Amino acid sequence: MKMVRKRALRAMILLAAGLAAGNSPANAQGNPYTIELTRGRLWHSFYLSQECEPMADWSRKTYGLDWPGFASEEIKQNIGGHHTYLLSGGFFLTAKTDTGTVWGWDNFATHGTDVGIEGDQFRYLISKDSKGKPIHRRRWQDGNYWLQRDPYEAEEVIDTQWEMNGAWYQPWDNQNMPVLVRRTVRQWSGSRADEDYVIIEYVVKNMQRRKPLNGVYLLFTYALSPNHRGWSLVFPNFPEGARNTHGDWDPERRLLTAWAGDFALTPGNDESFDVFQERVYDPVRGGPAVRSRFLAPGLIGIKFLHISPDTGGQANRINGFAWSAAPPTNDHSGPFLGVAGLTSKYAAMANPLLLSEAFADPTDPRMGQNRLYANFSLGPYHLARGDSIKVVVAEFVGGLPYERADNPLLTITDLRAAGDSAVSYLEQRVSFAYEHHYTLPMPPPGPRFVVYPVREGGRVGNVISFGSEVESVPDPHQGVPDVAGYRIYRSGQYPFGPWKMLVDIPVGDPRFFHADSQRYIYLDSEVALGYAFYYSVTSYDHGWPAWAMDPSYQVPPLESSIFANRMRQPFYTTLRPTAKQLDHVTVVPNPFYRSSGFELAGDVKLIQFVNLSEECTIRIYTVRGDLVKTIHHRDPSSGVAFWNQISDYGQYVKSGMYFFQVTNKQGEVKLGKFAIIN
Amino acid sequence: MRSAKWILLVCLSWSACAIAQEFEKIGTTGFTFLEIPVSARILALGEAATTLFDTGAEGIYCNPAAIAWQRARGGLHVAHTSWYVETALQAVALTWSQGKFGTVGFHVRYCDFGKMERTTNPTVDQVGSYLSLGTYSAGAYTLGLSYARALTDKFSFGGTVKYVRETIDLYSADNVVADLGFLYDTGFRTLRIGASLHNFGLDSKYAEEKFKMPQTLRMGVSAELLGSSVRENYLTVVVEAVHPNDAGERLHLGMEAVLGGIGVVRAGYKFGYADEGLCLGGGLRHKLFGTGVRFDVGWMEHASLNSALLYAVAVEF
Repeated sequence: MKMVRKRALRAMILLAAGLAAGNSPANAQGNPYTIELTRGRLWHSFYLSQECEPMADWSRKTYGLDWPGFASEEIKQNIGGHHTYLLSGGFFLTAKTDTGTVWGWDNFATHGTDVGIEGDQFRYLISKDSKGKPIHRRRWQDGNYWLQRDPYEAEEVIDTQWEMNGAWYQPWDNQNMPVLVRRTVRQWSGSRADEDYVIIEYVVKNMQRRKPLNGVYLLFTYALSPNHRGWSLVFPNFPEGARNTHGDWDPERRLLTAWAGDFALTPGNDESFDVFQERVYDPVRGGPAVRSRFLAPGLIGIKFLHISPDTGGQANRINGFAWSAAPPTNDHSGPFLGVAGLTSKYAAMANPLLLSEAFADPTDPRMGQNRLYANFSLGPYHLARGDSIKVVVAEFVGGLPYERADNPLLTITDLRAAGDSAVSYLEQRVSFAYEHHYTLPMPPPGPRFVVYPVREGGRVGNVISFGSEVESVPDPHQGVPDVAGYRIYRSGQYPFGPWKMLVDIPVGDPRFFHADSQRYIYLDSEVALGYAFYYSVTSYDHGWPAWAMDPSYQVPPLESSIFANRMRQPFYTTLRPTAKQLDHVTVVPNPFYRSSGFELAGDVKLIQFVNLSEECTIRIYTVRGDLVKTIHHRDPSSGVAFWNQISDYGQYVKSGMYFFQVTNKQGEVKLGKFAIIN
Repeated sequence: MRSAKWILLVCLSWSACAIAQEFEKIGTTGFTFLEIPVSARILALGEAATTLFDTGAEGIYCNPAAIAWQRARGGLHVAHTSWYVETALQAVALTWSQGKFGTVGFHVRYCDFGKMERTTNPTVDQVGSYLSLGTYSAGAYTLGLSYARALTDKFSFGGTVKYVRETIDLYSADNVVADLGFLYDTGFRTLRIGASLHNFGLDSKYAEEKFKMPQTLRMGVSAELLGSSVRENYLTVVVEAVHPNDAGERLHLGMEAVLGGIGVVRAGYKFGYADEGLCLGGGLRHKLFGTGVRFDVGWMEHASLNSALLYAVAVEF
């Protein structure tokens, strides 16, 4: 009777906790316990104890240092998947008892599921705050954007805390340990200078009242996959997880870098840096062509910014490092595959070369032909009661932006040099951020902007308009507004670029600023009807000779992130609606050839109806007279409607002649014909 | 007995309507001009023409088996279709009866889609609106050979082999398709049943993507409710169930009244169409210099694409 009541109560609590946890993260889709960072250029996600989600072999399930990040629905072209660079990150924990036996071994990384929200089946539980809510959430639901809430913190902060579960059933061996772990994630996604990294701070605290934890080792493990997208294109039949990973560990700088190199098992082909074969339209040949290009060529960087002193009294010491090669298929154990028993696991935590297929020599033949883990051993520590270990890790992707990578003259050497340069820059930035206690100079906010077609009939052009509100927003540290100007960027292919700067507008420039409406208006007339463009507007300041937070530091001009203020859906260049005259309705292209459709900017096989009224109905028929498609065009700002050649019954139509009828509210009727050749 | 016929027709109609609605695939076949009627009589009867037997040469279009019952030595049918959106078709059919060896036929069908404004997208570097590059034209034609034979004085079968070619701008596609049909006089008063399969053939293509033929299975019944075809005044009712391979089930109803042996009035209705329904028409027929001549007109309205008008002349000699 007691047992029944207890289980029912536990079930109800579990349900309530699940609902509460589900509401706390802003992520409404996918795993409810995954918190995603999806604002700037670098997209990442955090699970209860590890980065991304518990590994399932090497399948990508959420964002993992995606650079540049994008959502699946934003890309309609087949580019092979997401630009993922990391599949898991976290640490393993072990310690000894006073008698010298291994107390336990915990997996807070890779495939580990030791942490839960509620229940007695988890070794550890997410802590509850004073209101009983799980501590696994964003510090600010809507972010600390442009540091308007807290000028001494990051724009995005994720707090997670887990602790020993006293209700766990405790088998005789591998007991859970009385520790509390607090993980804080920080990102500055709105600043162009700082958008490519996250800083993760771990604090491991002995929560026992009397006894210390002896011989504590932390093993930080990262599942690296810098060619995850390109790998699925080049080797579609291989399991997920790139095997052409190359890496370098620099213990002096405490910096690890990894990149997509040549796959050792395919001599003659060079799969370096995420090469991508794209099918494009060649106007010279008048047909399709295949072009080789790089989309996201970058290097992963992992830098340890702070490590508490170990028993030797030395801070920032890394006890040992090793790569470990994962099996090419069915990796369900991580780097401890085959390391059985607590004693063996403890030994491997102390000496990573005892991990499965471990090696430290970068010239080892296993480099470049295996899925690779990077493993860092920290310790040993003597953790007295109440003491804690602090580890701060920065993770970044340093690479060449698409607008510079999209260059047929680029070589692998160029890409590597550009990546190294970016890594060096980011290494400095993350060190600066940590040295200044996570306080960074911030650019002005990016202005809210709208895009609409030109108002004059018959003209083609996209108008970008934004107000001047950001000019009255004070710099969070200097205390006064410091906007110097704005820049408008455009991409004609993907929502992640290539970005082309259209114009640099100084504040108050009379060529663009309209004093009566207090708005900036820019006309982009270098556009073509029917093509789709992504726009972004950034703002930049003039810099400061002395930073209020550190007078010895001179703040250079800072620009807001293109990605944090971009359009995520393309704007289709269009014409204004005609003034109630359907006589000039035209079908473009006519006839439609397969190679004359739009193969760029997100959509394919589009047929346009041009010179429409604001509100009209288009009906498309076979020559037999059967209705194929009805399009209700109801757009006061566009005189163009698109058809993707999918019928009202959800199927692509076939080659042949088609009739169309356009009607508007005024009763006007236009009939016409067009052809489709596929 | 008159009411018995009506009951039979109504039951057949209801059973046809009760056929399960298949998944719509409109727009997934090509050469759809093959389904445009090129006989004013067929159009006016709501295209319910599979079981007509006194068709002459135009039987090639409704059911090849019908030409087996041609009484004259030769038949000629010339027609013009003003179809939707300034699309025009011309058709000529010729049949020759060989007595007990059956009837052979030949027909040509031409469809002219006219000229369309050629437009193209600018490349991303050509700023501006679409580009207008003159006009292009499109057309299609069919050449067909038919053969039909009466196996008994009540049953006939027939078939047509057609070469089809459609040209759009610089591309063209061609194929060989077939029509098959049978016609049976049940002997129950004037009741006839028949069926025909149209445009049976393999896939074809213009550039890269293949498309299916607009195959149609038609099954129908017809009877003279008043009088008989050898009299000067009679009323014929036709009912037909249609099973296209790119649309749901359809039902066609038609009535033809011959008055004084000269005047013909026709009406029809098509069920299962979103935009088409009522069909009307009429005709005159007469003997001239020992030759039977018939002038027919057919009309059908489309809810969105205006209307279709057909003229035809049929000669039996």
